[in-house]
Amino acid sequence: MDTKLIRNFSIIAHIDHGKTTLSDRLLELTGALSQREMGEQVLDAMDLERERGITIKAHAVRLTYRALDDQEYVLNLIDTPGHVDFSYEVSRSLAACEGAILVVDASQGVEAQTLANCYLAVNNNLHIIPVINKIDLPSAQPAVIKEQIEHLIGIDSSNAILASAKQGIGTEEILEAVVREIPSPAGDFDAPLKALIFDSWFDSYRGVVILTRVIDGEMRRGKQIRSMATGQVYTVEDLGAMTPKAISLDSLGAGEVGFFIANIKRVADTKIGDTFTDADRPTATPFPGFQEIKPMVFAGLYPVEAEQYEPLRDALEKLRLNDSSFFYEPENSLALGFGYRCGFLGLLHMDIVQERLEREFNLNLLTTAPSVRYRVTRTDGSVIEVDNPTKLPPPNEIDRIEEPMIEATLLSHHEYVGNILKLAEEKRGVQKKFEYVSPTRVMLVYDLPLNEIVMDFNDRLKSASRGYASFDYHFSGYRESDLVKLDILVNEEPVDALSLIVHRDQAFPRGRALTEKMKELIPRQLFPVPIQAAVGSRVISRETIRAMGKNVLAKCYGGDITRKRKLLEKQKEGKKRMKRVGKVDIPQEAFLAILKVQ
Amino acid sequence: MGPIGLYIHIPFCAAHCSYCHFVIDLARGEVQGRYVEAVEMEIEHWGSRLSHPDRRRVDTLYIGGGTPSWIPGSAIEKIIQTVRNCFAVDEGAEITVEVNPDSLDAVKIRHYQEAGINRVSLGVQSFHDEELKRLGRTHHAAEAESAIQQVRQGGFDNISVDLLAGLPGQTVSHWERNFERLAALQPEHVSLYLFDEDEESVLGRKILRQASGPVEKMKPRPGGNLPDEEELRRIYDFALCELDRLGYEQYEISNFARRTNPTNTPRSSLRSRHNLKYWNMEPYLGLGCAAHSFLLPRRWHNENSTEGYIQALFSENDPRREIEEITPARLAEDAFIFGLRQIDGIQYRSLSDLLGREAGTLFRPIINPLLAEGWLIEQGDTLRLAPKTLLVSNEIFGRFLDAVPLET
Repeated sequence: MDTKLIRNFSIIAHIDHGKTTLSDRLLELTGALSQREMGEQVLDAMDLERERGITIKAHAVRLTYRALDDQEYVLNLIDTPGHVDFSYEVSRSLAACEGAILVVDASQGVEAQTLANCYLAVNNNLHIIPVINKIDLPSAQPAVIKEQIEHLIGIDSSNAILASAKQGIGTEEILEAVVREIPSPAGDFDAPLKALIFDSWFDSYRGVVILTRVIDGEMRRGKQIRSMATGQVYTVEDLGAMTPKAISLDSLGAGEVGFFIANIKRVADTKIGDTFTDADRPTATPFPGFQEIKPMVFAGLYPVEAEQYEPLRDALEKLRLNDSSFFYEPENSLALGFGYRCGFLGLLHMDIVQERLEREFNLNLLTTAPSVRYRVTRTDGSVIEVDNPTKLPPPNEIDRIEEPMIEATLLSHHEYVGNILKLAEEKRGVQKKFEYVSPTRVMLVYDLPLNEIVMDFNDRLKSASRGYASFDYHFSGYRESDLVKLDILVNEEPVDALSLIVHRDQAFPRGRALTEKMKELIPRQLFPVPIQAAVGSRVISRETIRAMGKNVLAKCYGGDITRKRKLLEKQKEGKKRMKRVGKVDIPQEAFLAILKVQ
Repeated sequence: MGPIGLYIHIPFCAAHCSYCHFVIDLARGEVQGRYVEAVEMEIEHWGSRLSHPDRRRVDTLYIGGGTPSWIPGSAIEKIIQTVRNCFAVDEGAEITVEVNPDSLDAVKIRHYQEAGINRVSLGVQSFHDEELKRLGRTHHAAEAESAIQQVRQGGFDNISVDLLAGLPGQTVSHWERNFERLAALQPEHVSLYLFDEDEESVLGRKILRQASGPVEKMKPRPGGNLPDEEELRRIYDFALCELDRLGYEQYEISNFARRTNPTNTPRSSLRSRHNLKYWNMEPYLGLGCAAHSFLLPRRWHNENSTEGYIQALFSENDPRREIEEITPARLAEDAFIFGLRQIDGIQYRSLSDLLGREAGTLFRPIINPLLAEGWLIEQGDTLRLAPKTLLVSNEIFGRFLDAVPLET
């Protein structure tokens, strides 16, 4: 195919700024799908994506567009996940493009996520087409938004397209800009194959389906190809493009985007960012930027009922077929029994995995407080990584602890800046930048410990800014910190699933808040139950749950033994949903509350 | 096989009391007449069906409601006459009728006497007008007192009074008045019920909404205007103490009988013999809508709605619903759970006879830790609740559920 007629591009936008609606309009206008065929949100296939209005997996759609110059172009629209948890996947999707449409809501303005993804695009040398969307809203302020784009992203926005994806305004103008402004892909058709992998998923009939951007050379059916990350060799069995229906093609050449199938059994064997090359004539250098994805957030997943342990294992196995970015291993908790320690890219990823397990596999799960991975240097000089507070060695064996840090960018209306500064300070943040990007909009950059973010930062930020502040971050390295393990003892017994690693300065307030919360959440038992927070052997806070006063049925209704039995059975069911630690029944909410206390 | 107890349900009431869970019906006149007819048909049916002479023997008869005193006294008399025609009612059978203070009159009392009723249970609930009003009761405290006197003058020497503890706004001091009245009126029996703030009654629902707002309605919090657990304990402990002082023995979690002295009463006990059957797994047959029955190996209840029940009887259909086969495991659990409600507890020997296996060893893994923690007391052949257990007994009973693997 003549690469001059190919355009590969992405859409960058904040949640709700209209990326999905615009994608649908583009599909509609290019005739990829008739209006009737279009469900809402064609690109977001998973139920969860549709419900949350976000894109979890990347997709690529090939559109055919006859432009005003009367040439027919092939436009590859590569959809990217919008969330910071998946920023590596975003970067690989962007690496497959030459340009990006930047969509900004005409009344909301540039948000932190947009900014982060836009920087990624700029760093990948993508041409950016600014689009100001929702222009039909009365609150639209295109002039202000243009200024923000120039100031924050540093690109010329004077020609920004004013659009309303919902009303279909500006769609054709956008397509023309794509054809006119985005460079066609460069690439050497005769060079050895160099194909970038930017997405893959498991199809139960065809095995792993891989989305690729061919940089150089050509991929053909029957060709032997090699993964440069794993060294494995495969034979291409089928290849083609999504229109969005899958169509088979004879080949994918330099500059093209499409899918291939090569009898690969596990998604884990197709690493995002990997390069596939000719097995017998390999390219000298892989496409740059490949990284192994590393989980950042860890939590224990436990079945509420012990019988669901095996089903949980099967479900995790199945889920991993399609999502190689989370990992799991068996874990045993004194309080919660048998479960799995799981690692996730971030909190949203954790939420999604948990929700899919519960929804698609009908499991009832208890998730422990998320933790990050600490680097602990022991007094004997050895270094271990600890992602579960219970695995922290005793204090006398610890020389120092380092914790993962992030650089966070926050954007907010200036009205809420006071609240946000207070929150960032509470979360041990160190301010690196404070800048008015427009008369009413402030950008803040902070160094923050990741463990402060995984607890309740997002919720707190939302309430501090009435939902208006946006937030994005990237991992910035490890830093030594004065951290301690905070234990919660219920009826004199430490409950491992309630242990936390916290900064020493926060041990007392957190300990107190937690004991108070536990007192509220743990129902009265037949005996008084002391709740203590302790660092090492030192108790720093104590509450007591009074003994139960009344649980009696005072009347037998005309011999209605069955009704009384049913009440007792209901009571028993309620207890079954709790976890028994020692002699105390602890409800699930108590294990989750650890996230909520301030 | 010993004699059985008979329960007959009269669902009719003048008004719906706000604390009540019972199946009741506000219908009058014609419906009541057809209902009584249907009940008589059911009595006749069972009279001929239970051909075994012991099963036809009746030693307790309890007419409950609803408000049995809301329907004509002649109707009650007629029902009892039908029972006598169809069953062998023992000479000394305990025959109880439930009455409400405001629907009682001299004519009804005379009918009850004629019918051979020898025990009257009065739904007093409280001697405080304000509390009565909140409960949606249609009577005043003074009416209750005069009703008790009226029944007494009508020749009844076994009167029971129902009182309700734990009502909104109630404190220990309210109970001082209740006991002052009990001391003066000297009923033979007192039932002390605890108000349940659950979803099943109008007042319960109202309190749940009030206490916790619309979102978490299943979790009543202290601070609504219900007495909290500690206050309720104080009320209960005070009641136990006062009733004891006034000469009542507690024989079940919420039932108290005047102590008897063999020299001046012919009866050995004033405990409700009918209610004892419920707790001792003895057979009883419930007739009328929503009435519950237990005749081994089954439990069931009748159609709940008055109309549905009448229709079933008139069209010769079975009014029974939810007929359950009682497995040996279920019977064993019930025998412990309900037997232990009695202050005297259970006798292993008699339970072993009932169950056909060693009752004491059956639940040993459940019983021993409870003995060690002091929730149960074992003395020789007897197992009973410790005094501190009464108000939290559901916690203990719950442990007997599904605890023993038994073949069914």
